[in-house]
Amino acid sequence: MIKMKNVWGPLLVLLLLLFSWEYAVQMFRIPEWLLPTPSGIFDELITGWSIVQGHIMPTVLLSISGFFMGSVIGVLVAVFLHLIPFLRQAVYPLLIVSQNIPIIVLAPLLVIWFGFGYLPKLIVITLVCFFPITVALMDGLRRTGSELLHYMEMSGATRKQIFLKLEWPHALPSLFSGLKISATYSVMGAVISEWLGASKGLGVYMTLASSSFKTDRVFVAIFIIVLLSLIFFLIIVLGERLFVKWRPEEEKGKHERT
Amino acid sequence: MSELNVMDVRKSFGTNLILDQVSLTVQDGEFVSLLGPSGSGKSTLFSLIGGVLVPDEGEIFLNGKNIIGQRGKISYTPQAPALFPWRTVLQNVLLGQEIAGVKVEKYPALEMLEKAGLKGYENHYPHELSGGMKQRVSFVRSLLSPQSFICLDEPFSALDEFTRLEMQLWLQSLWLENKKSIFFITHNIEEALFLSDRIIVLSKKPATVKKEIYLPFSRPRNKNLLLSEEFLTWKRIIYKELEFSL
Repeated sequence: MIKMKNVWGPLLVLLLLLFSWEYAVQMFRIPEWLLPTPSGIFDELITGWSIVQGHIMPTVLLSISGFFMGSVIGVLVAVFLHLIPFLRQAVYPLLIVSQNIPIIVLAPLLVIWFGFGYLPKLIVITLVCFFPITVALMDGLRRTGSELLHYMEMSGATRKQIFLKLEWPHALPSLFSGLKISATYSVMGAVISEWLGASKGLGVYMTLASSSFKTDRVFVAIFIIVLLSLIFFLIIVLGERLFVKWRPEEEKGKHERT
Repeated sequence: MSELNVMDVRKSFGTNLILDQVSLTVQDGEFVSLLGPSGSGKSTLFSLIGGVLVPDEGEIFLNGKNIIGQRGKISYTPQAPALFPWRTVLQNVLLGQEIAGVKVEKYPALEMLEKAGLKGYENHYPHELSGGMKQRVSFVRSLLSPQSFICLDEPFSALDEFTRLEMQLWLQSLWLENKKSIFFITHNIEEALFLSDRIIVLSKKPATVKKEIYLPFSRPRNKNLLLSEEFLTWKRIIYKELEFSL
């Protein structure tokens, strides 16, 4: 649980930052199209809510479906590569190298192949999301305690039992750390994919705002994107609390009571 | 009925000879300790019996059947408790039955946990238990496994002296009740003397059976035995035996 005590410090710093921003903009007379004040952004959020409102849901839905696709593929790839060592040796290095290709440079290709519809957007988010999950899960699957594995082997456990009763539960916390990263990436992926061309969505709202120098709206979009990422992250944390009730760090025997 | 026969087993890793012509038996319902210096290949012998490793030469029979390379024929209590941190105490002790694919029986497990002094902890996770309690859970898991031959690999070596004696008494009482054959690895002379019907002394590497000692102490044994003249005489004998082998 996040303790209230720990919240005050960051909150104070944040407030301080917002105040200095507000006064710096006023003091140096920075034009609004260059840098709006926090209060101006807040005003725009309230007065312009009817405009931005319709752009939120499409992005949320796109993020969720992309995240879901990415998670399913990420888990499947990790499990397959883990269970087939030959495949892992052959594919894993390529997988790592493939991550050096920025997704944004693939976007034009995806548009050429799949047009401006839903599919290329989904592919972008899936590509962004699956990798952290695959890497984290594979890591978790491989790092099972040697003592537990030895017990399973001595007891005559089959490969299936070792996977289901040892490796998979052991890897769950790792899977969740992968999911947390991907959940926040999914919103970013959705916005980027909307830049490619869409009729609705926060990415569209953002491009429209920036091309007409409505900088306050750009900030409104950023604010909402951050908020969405945070909400996604928190949902995964809640899921983790629900599924991982034991304390993973205990395996290393750090705080053993005797 | 469960009787183990190990015949002329030889095992080496590369050019490193670990076990040389090791032969021994454990009778049905007998408590036998395997005593030897650290690194003498005791755990290797267990891995061979457990089927995780395969001997270079020799035979291993359980109840007259060759069990070389066959896993799951024995029930095993490892040196570290090796409890699964995501399973509750009750789920942990049922794991042996799950792996063996037999019907999982909850009530005998609860009863056994109560006898092990773990009543009220059934639904706790391992990280909430003390070292001695974890080791008891680990042993209860072995007892509840369907195999009637139990191998214990230095189960009490990580415990302090007081907890250890308590655990030894507890192990003895459970064994007297269940009468499963127990093959017990230890490097602690007192522990071997206190618990066993018979002690098999291994030499240092490459390990061979150095001596077999039948212990005449009556059961149930209690703390007083540890300081009796008879006990100390036997301790001296074994100590000399080990000294020579070092």
